[in-house]
Amino acid sequence: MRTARLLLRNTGKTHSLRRFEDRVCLPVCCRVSAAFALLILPLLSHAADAVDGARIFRQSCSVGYCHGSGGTAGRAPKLIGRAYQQDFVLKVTRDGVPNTGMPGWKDRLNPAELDAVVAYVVQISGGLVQAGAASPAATTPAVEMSKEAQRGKALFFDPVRGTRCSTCHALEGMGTPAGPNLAAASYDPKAMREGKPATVRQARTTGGDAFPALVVEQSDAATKVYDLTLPPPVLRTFAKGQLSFSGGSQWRHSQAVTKYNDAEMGLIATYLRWVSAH
Amino acid sequence: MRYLLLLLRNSRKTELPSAEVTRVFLAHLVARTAPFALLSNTRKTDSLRRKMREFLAGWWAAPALCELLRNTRKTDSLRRLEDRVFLPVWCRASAAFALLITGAVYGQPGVTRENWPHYGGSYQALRHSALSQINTSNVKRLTPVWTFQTGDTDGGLQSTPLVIDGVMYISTAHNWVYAVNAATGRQIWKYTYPLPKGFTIFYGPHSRGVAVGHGMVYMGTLDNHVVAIDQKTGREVWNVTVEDSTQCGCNVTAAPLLVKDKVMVGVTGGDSAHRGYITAFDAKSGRMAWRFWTIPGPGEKGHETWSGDSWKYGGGSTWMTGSYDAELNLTYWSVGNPAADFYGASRMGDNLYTDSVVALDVDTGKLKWYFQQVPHDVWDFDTAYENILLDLPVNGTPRKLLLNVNKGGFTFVNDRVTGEFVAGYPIVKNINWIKGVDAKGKLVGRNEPEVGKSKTLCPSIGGGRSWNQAAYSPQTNMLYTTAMEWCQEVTSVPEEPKEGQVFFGGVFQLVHPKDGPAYGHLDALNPITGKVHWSYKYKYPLLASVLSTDGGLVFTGDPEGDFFALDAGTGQKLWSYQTGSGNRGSSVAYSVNGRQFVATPSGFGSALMGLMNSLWPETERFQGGSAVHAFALPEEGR
Repeated sequence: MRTARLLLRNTGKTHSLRRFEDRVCLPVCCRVSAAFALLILPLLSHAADAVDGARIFRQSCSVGYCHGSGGTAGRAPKLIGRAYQQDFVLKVTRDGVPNTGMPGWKDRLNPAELDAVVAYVVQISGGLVQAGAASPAATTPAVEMSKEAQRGKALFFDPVRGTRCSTCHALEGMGTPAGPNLAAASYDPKAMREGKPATVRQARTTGGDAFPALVVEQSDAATKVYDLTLPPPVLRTFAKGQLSFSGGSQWRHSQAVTKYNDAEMGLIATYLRWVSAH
Repeated sequence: MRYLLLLLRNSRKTELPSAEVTRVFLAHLVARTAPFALLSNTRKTDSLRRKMREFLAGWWAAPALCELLRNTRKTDSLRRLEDRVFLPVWCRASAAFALLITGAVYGQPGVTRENWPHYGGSYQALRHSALSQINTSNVKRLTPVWTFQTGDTDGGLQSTPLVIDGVMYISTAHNWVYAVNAATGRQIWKYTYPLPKGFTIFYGPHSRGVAVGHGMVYMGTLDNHVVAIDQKTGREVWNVTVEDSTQCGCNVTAAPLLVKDKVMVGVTGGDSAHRGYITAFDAKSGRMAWRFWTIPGPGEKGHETWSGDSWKYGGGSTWMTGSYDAELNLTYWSVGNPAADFYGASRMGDNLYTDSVVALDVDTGKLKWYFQQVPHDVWDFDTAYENILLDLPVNGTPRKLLLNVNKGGFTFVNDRVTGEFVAGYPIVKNINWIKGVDAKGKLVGRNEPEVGKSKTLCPSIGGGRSWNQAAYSPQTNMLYTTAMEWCQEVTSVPEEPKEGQVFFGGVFQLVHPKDGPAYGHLDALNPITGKVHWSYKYKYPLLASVLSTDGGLVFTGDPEGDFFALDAGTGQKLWSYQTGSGNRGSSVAYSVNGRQFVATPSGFGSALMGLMNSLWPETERFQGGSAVHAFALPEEGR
């Protein structure tokens, strides 16, 4: 070991290492001088009637990697100097742009806020601002929900529980639609817990893996099932003949709802009734 | 014998009893040559090589010998002997001996050879290839062989292609996956992920790569699923929701990490009201195996580092791929910033495990150790990037190390067995959010954003470096990393969390540093001390990953579309090729039937592209794209 250490000490910086130090590339420094010409963008002055829009913009649009401070561009496009039409800005802001990072804001901002932020964007883009463009129809009118239903909804989608109702059921456009549509189900909390759906079958792969399955699709080409062994459900695709079914499964809904107590199930039932009614 | 003599001659053994070394060496040589006969004439796959290397490492583990080999400076003549004379003549076990060279001489496992099997090249994430057919003497003749157009241009191409047994696997911004013949560029199959119609998300569209194993290709998706695709046919085998993206506002853009029977994925969401995690799924069935929450829940250790309910929406995303040490059975992941990014008053405390490196047991997901680089981050300076696993001596003692360059432009080196802090240094000149770190790696001189008052902080939110990965070359013992000199005016803004929505807590505007225009650079530095050996400067940020090879070369690309090779020893530019669009992904090296290739994704478009506009307006006109370009030496010139 002593000899090895001596070797190590004596083999460190040889000819090639010294070469690196001699040739440290100073010549490339001059390249950066070209960038001197480009200086800071002019600051924007906001008209008084767009102040509210400016605040919403700051909190909702310029944040993070999106449109940048005052619309100077982040990850999302630059908005200044575009001379946008108000109709266009309203449509994009309201509905979003599919397959991009631009969400629709019709459910996140009320009509007055939409109006204000759209006017602000049109203004900073250099376009012509008209008053009151966001029609009331642009937003979904809120339907009153009881306190209990609200709590039920929060529980249904509760992010603090790794597994929650929405891990297997979709409602109001959120969640994984593996389990049945609950907008048309019965809402007895006890039945909800103890349910033993006949649709869950025992599946077996040719490799001998057996699991409770919900069949999604069966065709000549493939069989698609949700594997319910553990939440979250796994959508598995098998070629014809690779999966067989053997009658009913031992699977019980109670296995999946261990994270909720009876009182919570009651609140969730209230929420489900509200969804069903609206 | 000539090889032996050269080895000894090149080891600079001035104070050493050479007879002693020779005696030890020869004794081992005689006693340990027999196995080579068994290994000759066998076609070596990568997995066989791995096994052989492990075996040989043990076999040759006499300390004196290993140290001798590891510390020998390889001259050109020695390399030639290794390649052309020594290897074929002695037992024809060329692959076995190449293993010995990489395993024992470099003392650094984790270089790649004909395959590029993992996101970081190897589990150690060195991004270093032992291939040397393309080298400093012939790189000038490097020629494009094929170009593959993915057609998925929105968002550019940020992927790291994997190459396994002559097939390249490429994922695109919207989660299309291609299997392509790596020698010809011809498509074998295409998989199109069924993204929900009208889907929008704050993070993306990007896919930074796939993992391959168990006959499947694994990918995380824009809507936060993980899919397994049949490696032969491109058909979907399983598909699981990590968490509903319409609710969490989070997704997977990083490549999964496949270890044994576990597919591990991280999650984005660090700039939204979301609580981060790392999830492992069973590779065969897709069933969830474990989840490690990056923010401890009530009753868990570390929960007390979050005031009030802030833990529920505290960020802590895991948006880049982890590493793995097979011997320790630990996987190393970096955790991003806490949310809200710039406003910390509503989340008082250290905010564990944000801005930390966490070491987890691969089988259980249990935390073995953590090291928090930035307690209570208020700068959006994620510790999110790659963890490079190095086996290097520190003050004469061999150490198992983990090197992590963070977004704040600071590099931390830790002992990867215990998490103990070993070294730290900045990689940028413009850095004023801290003054430095003390002997234990604690931050010194914090300079925080303030509510209602604009402050100039450097580096900018774009990072002292972006997520694109560094390379470590065992050949030169240098770390090659990009870095960026830029600043921002930032103001902290109080903000309430709304689940799944942007939770940022501040506004910012990029500005040039005080002493001159912003720029980028690629540096060769000592991985432990941070001493810079050479620096390649560039007028824009460099945003592509770095690749190093045993050909003495370093490859990367720039936003203007040039993919280029530098001399790993000097930083001199030796070769360059215009790919037609900015480089934002990760180049790879591989070989097919003995011919070495270097391939790079090309196609600009990313979060930083927008940020660049405000400092360099002309970059707005840089064209997007999405293609992979492969290069090799001309057939007749080999």
